[in-house]
Amino acid sequence: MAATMIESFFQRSLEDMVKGLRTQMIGEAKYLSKALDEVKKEIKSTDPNTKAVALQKLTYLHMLHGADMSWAAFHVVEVMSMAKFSHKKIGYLAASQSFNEGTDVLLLITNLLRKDFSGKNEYETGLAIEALSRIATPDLARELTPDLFILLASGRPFVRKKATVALLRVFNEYPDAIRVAFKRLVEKMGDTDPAVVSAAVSVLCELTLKDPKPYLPLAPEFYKLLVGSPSNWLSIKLVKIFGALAPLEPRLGRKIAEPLCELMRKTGTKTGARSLLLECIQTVTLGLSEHQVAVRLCVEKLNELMREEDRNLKYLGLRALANLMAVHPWAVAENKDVITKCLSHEDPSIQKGALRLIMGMVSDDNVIETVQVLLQYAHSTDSAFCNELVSVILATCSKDQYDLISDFSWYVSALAGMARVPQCAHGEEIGRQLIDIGFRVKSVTTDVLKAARELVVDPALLGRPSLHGVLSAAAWIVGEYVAFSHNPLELIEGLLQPRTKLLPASVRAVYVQAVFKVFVYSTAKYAYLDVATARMTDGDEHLGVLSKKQSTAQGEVLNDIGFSSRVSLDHTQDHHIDSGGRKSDPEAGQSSRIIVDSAETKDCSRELRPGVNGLLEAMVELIAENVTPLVNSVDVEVQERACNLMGLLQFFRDIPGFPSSEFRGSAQVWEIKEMLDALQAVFAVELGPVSIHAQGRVSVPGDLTVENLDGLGSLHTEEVLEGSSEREGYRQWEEGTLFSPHSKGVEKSQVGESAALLAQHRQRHENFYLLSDEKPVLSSLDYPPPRIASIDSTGFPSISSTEVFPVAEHSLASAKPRRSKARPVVVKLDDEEEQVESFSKLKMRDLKDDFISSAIRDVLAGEPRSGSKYHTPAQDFERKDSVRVRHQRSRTSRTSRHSERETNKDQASPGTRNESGVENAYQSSENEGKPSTSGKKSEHSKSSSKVRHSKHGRKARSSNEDEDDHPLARKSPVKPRVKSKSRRNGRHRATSPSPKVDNALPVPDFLL
Amino acid sequence: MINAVLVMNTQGKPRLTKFYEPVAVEKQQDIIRSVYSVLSSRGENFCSFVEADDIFGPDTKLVYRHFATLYFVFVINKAESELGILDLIQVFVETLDKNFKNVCELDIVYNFNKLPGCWRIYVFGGYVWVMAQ
Repeated sequence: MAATMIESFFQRSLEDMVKGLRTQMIGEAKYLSKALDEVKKEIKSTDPNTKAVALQKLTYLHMLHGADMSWAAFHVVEVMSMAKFSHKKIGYLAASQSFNEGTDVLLLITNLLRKDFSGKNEYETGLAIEALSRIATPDLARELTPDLFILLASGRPFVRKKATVALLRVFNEYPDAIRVAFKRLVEKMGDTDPAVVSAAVSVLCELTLKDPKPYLPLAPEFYKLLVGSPSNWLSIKLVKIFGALAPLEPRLGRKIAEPLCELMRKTGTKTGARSLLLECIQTVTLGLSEHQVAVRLCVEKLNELMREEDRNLKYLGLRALANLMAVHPWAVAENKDVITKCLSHEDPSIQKGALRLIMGMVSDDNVIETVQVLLQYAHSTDSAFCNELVSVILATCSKDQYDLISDFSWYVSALAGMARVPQCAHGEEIGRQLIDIGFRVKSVTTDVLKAARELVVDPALLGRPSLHGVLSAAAWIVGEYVAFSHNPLELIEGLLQPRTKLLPASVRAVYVQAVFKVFVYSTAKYAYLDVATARMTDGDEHLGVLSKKQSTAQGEVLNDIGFSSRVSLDHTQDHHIDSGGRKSDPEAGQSSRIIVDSAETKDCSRELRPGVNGLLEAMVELIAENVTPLVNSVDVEVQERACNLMGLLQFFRDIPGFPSSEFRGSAQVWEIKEMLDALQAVFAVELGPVSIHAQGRVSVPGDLTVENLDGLGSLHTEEVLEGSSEREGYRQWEEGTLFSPHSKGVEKSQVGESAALLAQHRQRHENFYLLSDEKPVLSSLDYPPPRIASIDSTGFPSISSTEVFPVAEHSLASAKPRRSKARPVVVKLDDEEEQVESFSKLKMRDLKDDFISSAIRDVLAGEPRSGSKYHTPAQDFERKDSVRVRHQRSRTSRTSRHSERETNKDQASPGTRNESGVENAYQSSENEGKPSTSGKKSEHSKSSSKVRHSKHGRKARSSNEDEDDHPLARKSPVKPRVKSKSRRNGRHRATSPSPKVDNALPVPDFLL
Repeated sequence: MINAVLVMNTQGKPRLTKFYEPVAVEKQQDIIRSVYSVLSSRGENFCSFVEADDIFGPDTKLVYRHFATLYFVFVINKAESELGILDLIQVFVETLDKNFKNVCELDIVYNFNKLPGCWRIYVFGGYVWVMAQ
């Protein structure tokens, strides 16, 4: 005894411990472990006070310092069961803090909780309920559901509200409890104590938001509460519930639109009620987007709110607008200025919200303007948001094969602009898109090359690792489309500038390869120029003697090598067709113009020839100087490509006179002609987008036998896309016309020009190349009929294993008639849509939630009338209702509270269903109000169920039902009161046609 | 509902923690740390809501307010109104202020055992039921 007293006397209280912690000199961790040791000793004490204080300290250490207290579970139970309230409180706090499903002593507390539930002190009961609401396990919940059920009907509001709240956890842990207690929960919405109502609504709100469907039958209840709601907090919950319910039932939306608008008007933008206002807005945007008036009001309010400086309002306003965006784009458009302002807000989440909205508004009409605005912001904002901006722009613009873009020259320059945004980290994607556009949009190849050239030439970009992706792409583009360049030397200079050593090896390899391509191209052009001039000097000096072919070839060479007198596209194309042996344009005027052109060109070439020479010499010098060190590069890719390039260079250097002017016209040029042709041919094949199904379209060789792959055969044939017969048609047609778009280059005499000419030819005569999928080609009857036009893939005749040119033209006139400017052709593969197609996600639903939902469905459907009534709510929703009737009815319901089991039996009894006429009408009206048990007992008081009144039921009744008497008996006194009110509300009219009037009972005929 | 209430100072030391869902101790400490790292990286003019999907699971949100040296943080799901919770924090702080006469962090440190009581007036089992002071 003495020992205990001393123990207690010298024990440090929680305050002492906290103070000690603040003043300790030994380090926090050490102090805490010392304190913990102390607690461990003290908690074993037999003195209740010492033990409780020790536990309190332990709880503190657990809560704030993460100390483990699972070892003290038994002590917690001991303190919980102490007699003194202050000790009990410590015990319960510790329990709700530390117990979980794994705590083994949980089994011990069932009886303890039960005892405290029925304790005299309501605070003790409150403690026990709180503990249950926090630590309930399936076992505990099962055991204590009956007790909780009784507490729900307790006479003390304090207990009722706590019990109501605890239901949620109990339902979650033990869904069977729903069958017992759900109706009582619904009844609680009509409780006299506002706190209990609020608690019930909170729990229902929580349940409804998880899975709204089963709660639809309760809509009338919620509605009545909402109309008469005394507090904003309650209204918020109810509005939230409707936000979840309204999308499921359009008629409900119609019904609640008016009260919601009323609420919104009433609350205005006063500070206090803003939460409610925003909830209303949120609900309208989620579930009532069909209701123009509500949406209109909503947008007005949003605009008001977002004009204020409050950042929280901005955030929530943006969120609400995002909900509206899909259905009412105008709502977003109207607030455009406010949204745009949010882009410069400090908070990234607000910025992102605004960005999402702005990108959602983008259409082909405003894409240019929008992107320009965004790029301006990108320059001025911090790096995270800047990259967000850039990535969103990239994603939006490239969506559906650049569907939004009609001006590709602009987009290409915008891409280059994005690469130059200082913090941009999306080099890879920008590069990918540049190449992609080069493939798909032939008409802007020049712009793509121009953009790439600027990127390659700029030394400042080389130092930024994030841009290596785009530089690599630019280098590739420069090499690939060098034929469109005005100045190959400049390209070589860019590709070999000193700062390229900052690049990683993989990009460097691309650079060297690009140099290779540019060099081969320039040399060939140069050589042909010389061939042409050589012939010219050898033969007749007179221009007229030159064959048309030669002169145009020369003209083109000059053009390509890069001088100002670029020959018009028409010219070269016509020429190409001629050279291909297909006289498609025999117009005399055209031919003569060509001759005139070439005459001009000839003049130019005379003037500029020294420049041409200098160009190649400079190029060779540059390459020799800069690529030679790379031959020893540690990276194999770079090394190999450098070696190739140097090898080639060496080969040319061995030719006497190369690269000076003596080389030109010399006999050697003729000797190496074949080699030049071959080199050109290597790069002449034009590349295009590759279908993801390309592999699938490759036909299996007949003699191929693979074992055990039978199953794959069928899969393969399926994948060879529908509409293959049409493709077949195309192939036949193609063969018939002897036209093969891909047999260019190699075997033709004009190998050197092929790349450029083909691109141009393709652009001009794309109808021969590309065939539209859905949109018929309308231009000419000579073209294949639209049916055939769905060809998406034509393999190379020579390279049959890949599908390099699967193309489908987009007929723009029919697709986007409102575009003033013709959109260039964008090559699309027919199966790319599939790629975009979202994969249907399998929703893994929580099993427990399923249990809860099904249980609630059972409970609500268990009442035949409430269920069946619900199926015809359309008429009901139109009618007016009376708030006051609700109060009256809720009183009625309270009077009829009785055991749940009994109710269930009542429902099941066929007699209930068979009741007809007036009686039935009364019941159904009661059930409308209370889809649960309300009014039940009254109707079935004569049934045998009354005899089976359970103990619980009786207890519940006795606890707080002062006005309880037989509801049938009560009908007449109630009548006049209700009637007078209902008349005012127009209810009278609605009820009058029915025989219910005879019963002199006002029927609350609001839905259900 | 409210999943958790955290009061911590600007150094990340928790002053009051209350989880309304069972969370293991180690996880609690993790959560406190990650919440702190999120909050401390936010500027004064940032809005009071933070999506907390990666800390607390889907559809959760932090609603916080910063008073002097303390953060008052509520973790809520979509059944709560953000602005409503902000009001609640205001009310809670005003209550503390009344109780402790110009409340400061130290009051909360030294009166730990009074806090849950203050707290329980407003929130019970994850539900708010009294909004009046």
